[in-house]
Amino acid sequence: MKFEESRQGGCIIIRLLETRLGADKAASFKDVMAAYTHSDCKAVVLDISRVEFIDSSGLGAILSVLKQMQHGCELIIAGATDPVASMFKLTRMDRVFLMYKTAADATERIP
Amino acid sequence: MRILIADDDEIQRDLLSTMLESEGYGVVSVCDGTSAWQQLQTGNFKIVFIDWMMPGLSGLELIRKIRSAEFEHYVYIILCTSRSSRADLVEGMRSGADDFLSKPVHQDELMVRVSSGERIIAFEKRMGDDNRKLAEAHSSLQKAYATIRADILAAAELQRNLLPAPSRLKNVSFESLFCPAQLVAGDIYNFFPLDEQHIGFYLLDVSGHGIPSAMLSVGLSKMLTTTPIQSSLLKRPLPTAPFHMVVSPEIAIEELNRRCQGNGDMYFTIVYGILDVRTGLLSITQAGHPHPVYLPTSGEVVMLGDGGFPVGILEDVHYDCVSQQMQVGDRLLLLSDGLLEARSASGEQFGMDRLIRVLKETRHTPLKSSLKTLEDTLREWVGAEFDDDVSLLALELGEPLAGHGVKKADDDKRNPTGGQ
Repeated sequence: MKFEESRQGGCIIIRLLETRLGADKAASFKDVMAAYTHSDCKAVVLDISRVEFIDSSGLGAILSVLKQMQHGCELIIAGATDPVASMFKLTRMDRVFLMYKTAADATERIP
Repeated sequence: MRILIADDDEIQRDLLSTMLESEGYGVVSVCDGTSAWQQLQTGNFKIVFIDWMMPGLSGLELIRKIRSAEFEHYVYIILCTSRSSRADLVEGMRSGADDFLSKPVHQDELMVRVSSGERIIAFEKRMGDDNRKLAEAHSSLQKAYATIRADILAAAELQRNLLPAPSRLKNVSFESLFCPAQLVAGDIYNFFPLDEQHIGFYLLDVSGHGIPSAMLSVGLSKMLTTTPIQSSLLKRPLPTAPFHMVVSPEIAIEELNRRCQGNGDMYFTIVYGILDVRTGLLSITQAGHPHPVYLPTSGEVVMLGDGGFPVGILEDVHYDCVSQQMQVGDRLLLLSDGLLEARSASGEQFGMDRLIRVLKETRHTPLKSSLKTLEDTLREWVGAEFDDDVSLLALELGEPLAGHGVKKADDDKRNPTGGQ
């Protein structure tokens, strides 16, 4: 799972560099995120602007990471592309995660 | 280790023989090529010294004969020659000799050549042993694979047998498609009577693929039943007539969600619907699953529902129920995302628009042939095996059974005062 890490204003931004988050990548995605679930920060922003497709295993992996997040640290989704955004809407993930158009929007809005 | 010497010169034979025996080797000497060949058949010699010039079968001819024969082990050939011309040596090696030894032979040089030969022999033996082990491992793997495959085929059949055949329940006809991507599927569907007036039906899709998803799907199909009523999610007993109550879809799914927590990352999406066969009223809950498609006999196609949470992964969430009034002749389709997401060779998804187009084009053909056309169109679109499970459950509301009315679209026009 290729990704980039950066920090901005109390948030950690994890930008995924893969175009598909599917069954084959779900396990390595969780391994990557495991390093950040107990971070001492206000939020972990998952930037999925490069991801064009997430399947059921990918969604399961993201929800699994959400459940691991330490209290007080939010998991925020940024940059969902149209197909991913409509899948999130269908599964009401937009009521489970805070979602922003860009990682920058997310970091600005976090107090 | 036994060594064979083939040389017509007695002095050379004895010299070589003595040197080798003094180093502890067992030696057999012969004076011509033919005898050497005979010895090789029976004697298990791994190193052979062959003289270049011999009467009858020459050294070169013997070498070629050895190389084209299939001995059980490698025969290391050292060509002995008093000729020193390079062309001769090259010809000898090309015929298959591994090394050469010039006469007169010196013991130290002789022994290093023999050591070289022993290294090659040892290597060849190791290779032979490794190959034997590989062949055994391969054979075990083949047997294991055959067993596993037989098990999966049995599981696939078990799963298939759980699926209902196309049939008519009261005045509702059901047809379906089931195309697993692998032998077993994470998709499953069913339809069943809930009571005199209601039919329940669902299509669900477990996340992931393969055996774990299939196992959960089978488990879920066993949970979505009306009996025994005491523990059923779909029907509750009542202390007074009519002694039962059909559970509204969103309540049923909420309880199902509660009971299905704790499957790791696995979850499922489902559409569960209840149809009142007398009134034609449909109540449906969509839980993270693609929208069911409502196909009236005339008028626009409607994608029902507003989304919903998947089941089994978030605790304490609520689900919604939407209603749709159906008329005689109307159709409803539940489908899995494998159908919508099926990709062509160029990577384009089949999509809801294309699906709706096919359904509209086949609107007035029988439901079964409409689904067949859809399946054919989908297979042509993909042009290869499906890489996700494709499943579909369709129903068509028929004329009401005697005595009870489902309103037809033009009933009100014929009976302006209303009623039947």
